[in-house]
Amino acid sequence: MQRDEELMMAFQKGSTESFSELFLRYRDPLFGFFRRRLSNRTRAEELTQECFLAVLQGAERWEPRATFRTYLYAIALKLTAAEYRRSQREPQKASEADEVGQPNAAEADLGVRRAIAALDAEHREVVLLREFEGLSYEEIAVALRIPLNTVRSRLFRARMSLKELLDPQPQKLQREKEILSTPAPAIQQLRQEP
Amino acid sequence: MNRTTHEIEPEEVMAHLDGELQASRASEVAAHIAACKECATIEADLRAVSGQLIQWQVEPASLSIATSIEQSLAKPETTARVKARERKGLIGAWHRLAASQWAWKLGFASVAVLLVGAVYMQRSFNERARELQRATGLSAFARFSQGATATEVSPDVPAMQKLEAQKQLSESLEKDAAPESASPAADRIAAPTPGPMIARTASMNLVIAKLDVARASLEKLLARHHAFASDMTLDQSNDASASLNATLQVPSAELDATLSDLRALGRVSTESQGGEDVSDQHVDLAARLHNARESEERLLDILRTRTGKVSDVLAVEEQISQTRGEIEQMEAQLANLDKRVSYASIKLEMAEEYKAPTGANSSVALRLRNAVVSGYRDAVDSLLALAVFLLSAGPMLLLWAGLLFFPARAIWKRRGSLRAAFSKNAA
Repeated sequence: MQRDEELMMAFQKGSTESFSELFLRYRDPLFGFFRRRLSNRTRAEELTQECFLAVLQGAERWEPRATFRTYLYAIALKLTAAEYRRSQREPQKASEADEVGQPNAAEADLGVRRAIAALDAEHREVVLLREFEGLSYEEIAVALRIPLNTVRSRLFRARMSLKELLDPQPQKLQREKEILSTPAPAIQQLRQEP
Repeated sequence: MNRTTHEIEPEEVMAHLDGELQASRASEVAAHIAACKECATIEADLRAVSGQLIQWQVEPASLSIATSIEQSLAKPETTARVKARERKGLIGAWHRLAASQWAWKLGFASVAVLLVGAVYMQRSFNERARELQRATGLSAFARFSQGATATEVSPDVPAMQKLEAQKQLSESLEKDAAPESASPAADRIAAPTPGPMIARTASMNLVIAKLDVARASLEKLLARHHAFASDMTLDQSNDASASLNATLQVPSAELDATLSDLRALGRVSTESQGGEDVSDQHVDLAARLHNARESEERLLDILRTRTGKVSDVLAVEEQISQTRGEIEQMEAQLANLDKRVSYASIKLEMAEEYKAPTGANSSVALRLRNAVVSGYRDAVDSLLALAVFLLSAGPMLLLWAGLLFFPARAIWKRRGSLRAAFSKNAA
């Protein structure tokens, strides 16, 4: 099986099949990346598409200095940040969109989602990239542009926090449900309220 | 767990679990975990957390994404840029160059540098031409006063006739004066004067900041242009405004350059230039001198050859004496005319800007007022200097800022990624 970087270099030489192979490899993981961060499924699909288009457009400038996976998720992170900013500028539109795409999660997912949503943004991002996207510590450091030691410390603290949060605590359930039913950009604001 | 005393940090236990440790260190940590209950607990907790997180699965992506990406791939322009890398030879190199954003930025920067260079060269060339013109005194007026040929100046008939008559007169005078050339004035008269003779004058009033500085500059200026001050009056009796009045004698060829340099000494309040055509006067005087000399010759001849009564001899001698006086007077006038033509006269008045007196006897209020005026003037001068600097250098600074913004931003971004990579390697 060819490495991602080899496929990308083949695409730079004009092989569209190589890009199709990359697309097949990363379509679902990338959609999962956006889907875990956005409650609107349609928007997650659009951003997945935008991310691949960005890779297409910037393919001639790509150099194998970092892994393709790091490059791809770095673009995805930028798109996510832009989406959060957009939703802050247009809260009404974002709220409507979120209601349309509100996931009907299973109870098992709900516990995990509310625990992750309870983390602060820095720790949440590191743990998501590690646990669900499967990035190595080095890849996370490059994608988030933070030192490797910071990745390790944040990941450890996030996991320890999750351990506490994943313990069943009925008294917190109602509050966390409120958090989960709120659009992603407003989570931080709600968490800060008493 | 006590971090300071425990030999394995909990993050290392986590890194071991994630397969992020090197083989040698991983075996050490594994051995430690097997022996350490605390670390084994941490490892178990971390495993449990990861196990729970796996429960969050998302549905697969819809096929519509694949369709849109395939459509984009099918577009020729999407793959044109990446295919450019594959092309060989000169055409391939050209396509790769055209596809590179850096090449475009570099191209724009080069064009901008060339434009700036061309403008600078043009200005430098003009400046040099002006300096050359100043040094050689080749301004149109100076050329005219030095005696240009008829084809160089406007070829009007009276001027040409005047030139011709002057030439003929000069030749005849030269023939007459050649055997004797008794006086220096006669030599000057004999010299050919091919062009119209213009006695140039100018006057200039300057307002300067410091008279001492301006006077030093004036003296250097006079030395540079081989000029001199025929008279000079310096008035510093009044603290209010020191002034200097001078009459400068400047070689006619240097007049324009001198005036240009004088303007740089301060602010010109009034300036005027004039020129008096003394050709007719010169020709007339030369003709009269020529006649007077002939008369003198004839009288001397009479005195030598003829004999007569004593009263007649005395009358001839008196006539000779009178004629000699006229000749000397006309020679002096001719010399003066030559001097007026070869040296232009500049009446210069320089005065400091008005300032109320600040002598020892002046009141505190007056001195404070002067301080306020001086401070205000300095503030205005500095603001003016800043405005001049911004107006002269501002466009160039804006141009360079615009040119360097995008490369600098790209370098800054690349630096950020390199920093992350360095910290990663350091760790």
